[in-house]
Amino acid sequence: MKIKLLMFFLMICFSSYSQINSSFIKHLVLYDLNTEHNSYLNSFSDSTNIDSLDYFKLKFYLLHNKYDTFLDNVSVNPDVLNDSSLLDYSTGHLLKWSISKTKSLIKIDSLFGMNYLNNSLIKKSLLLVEDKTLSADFLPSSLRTHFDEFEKTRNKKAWVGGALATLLPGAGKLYIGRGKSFLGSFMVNIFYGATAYESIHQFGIRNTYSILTTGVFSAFYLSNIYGTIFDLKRIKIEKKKHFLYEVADYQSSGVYLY
Amino acid sequence: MNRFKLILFCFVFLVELKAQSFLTDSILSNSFEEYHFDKYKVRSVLNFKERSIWNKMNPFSYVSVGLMFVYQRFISQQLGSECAFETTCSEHAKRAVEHYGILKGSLIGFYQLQSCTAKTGYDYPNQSINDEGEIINPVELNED
Repeated sequence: MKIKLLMFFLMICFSSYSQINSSFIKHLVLYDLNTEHNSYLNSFSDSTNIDSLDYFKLKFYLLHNKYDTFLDNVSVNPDVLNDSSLLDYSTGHLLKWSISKTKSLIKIDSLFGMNYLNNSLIKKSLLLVEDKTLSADFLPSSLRTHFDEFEKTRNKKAWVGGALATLLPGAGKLYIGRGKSFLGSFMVNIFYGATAYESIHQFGIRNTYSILTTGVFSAFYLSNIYGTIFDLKRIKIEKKKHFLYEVADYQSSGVYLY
Repeated sequence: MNRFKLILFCFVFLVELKAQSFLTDSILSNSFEEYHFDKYKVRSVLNFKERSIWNKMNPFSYVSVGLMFVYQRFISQQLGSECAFETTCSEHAKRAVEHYGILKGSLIGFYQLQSCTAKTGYDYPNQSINDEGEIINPVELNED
């Protein structure tokens, strides 16, 4: 009987020793003791069968923006996908970092988890930016403004921008939404155009100075057309990212990791 | 004879610029030991690793990027101008030529040159502005 009692107490001692102290981890996070935090988690050997070890390790990766490691480990430990606040936090932060990685997490959740992210705002928003036919009614009003801005840019045509830039240097910038640099572009083209015209008028087309000024003007003029088309592509990506960033911010606001 | 004089002039000019650059650095470091100043960033020379064999063999790419390098190394430092973009016009043009080839790259470079005004930053969202208030302008279009 005594031996059994002793065994019982010993078991309790071992089991309490092998559990992770979440309050201690909160303390480490609060005081920004990253090295100690990492050492503490690694002090438990891999052979120790502690359910929460992987969970806390995943939280550690998220806290330190090690998203690749987080994704690698989350597919191995799908149990952590049952924590909805962890999913909200991780998708919100992942989206700010990489769109494709967020999609991977949603896929992992649908395959191994409870498919919690299927109806999330982030998944709907990701679908919304890819499919023009979808309605944006589900978006809250604060996000609606950003989406309208993105949609306005999405409908802009590259050839219209190019044509405007051809007719009036800099006008393409006004169309694509880079209005503040219109004047710079316009003045540069007018100045070099006038110089080229004047040099041809004065010295003829075969003069070295005329060739040089015409060459410079042509470079600026053509770059104004091509650059407008190229910049529109960039703006579309920029607006899309901006909208998704706001969605991620909205999703992860008020959600804490610890 | 005139050609020889011209080459000599260019050579002396470049040496003078280089010497001036060294002199400024040494004067600053000797006179103000506590004063820390940021040295100019190290410029890359050429990088056509990921480009096709045509781009690797195209002499115009080498000439244009080489000229840009000379400009950065000897002239740009003397100007000391502040740029609205994170990657300066010359560096951006150089990377664009490396990435897109001589034609597209030059056009992208010239486009940035004519887009650089004091108010350009207002056209960009907050995510595209770095901590120093400069516009983040990567050459590649990254959708991710």
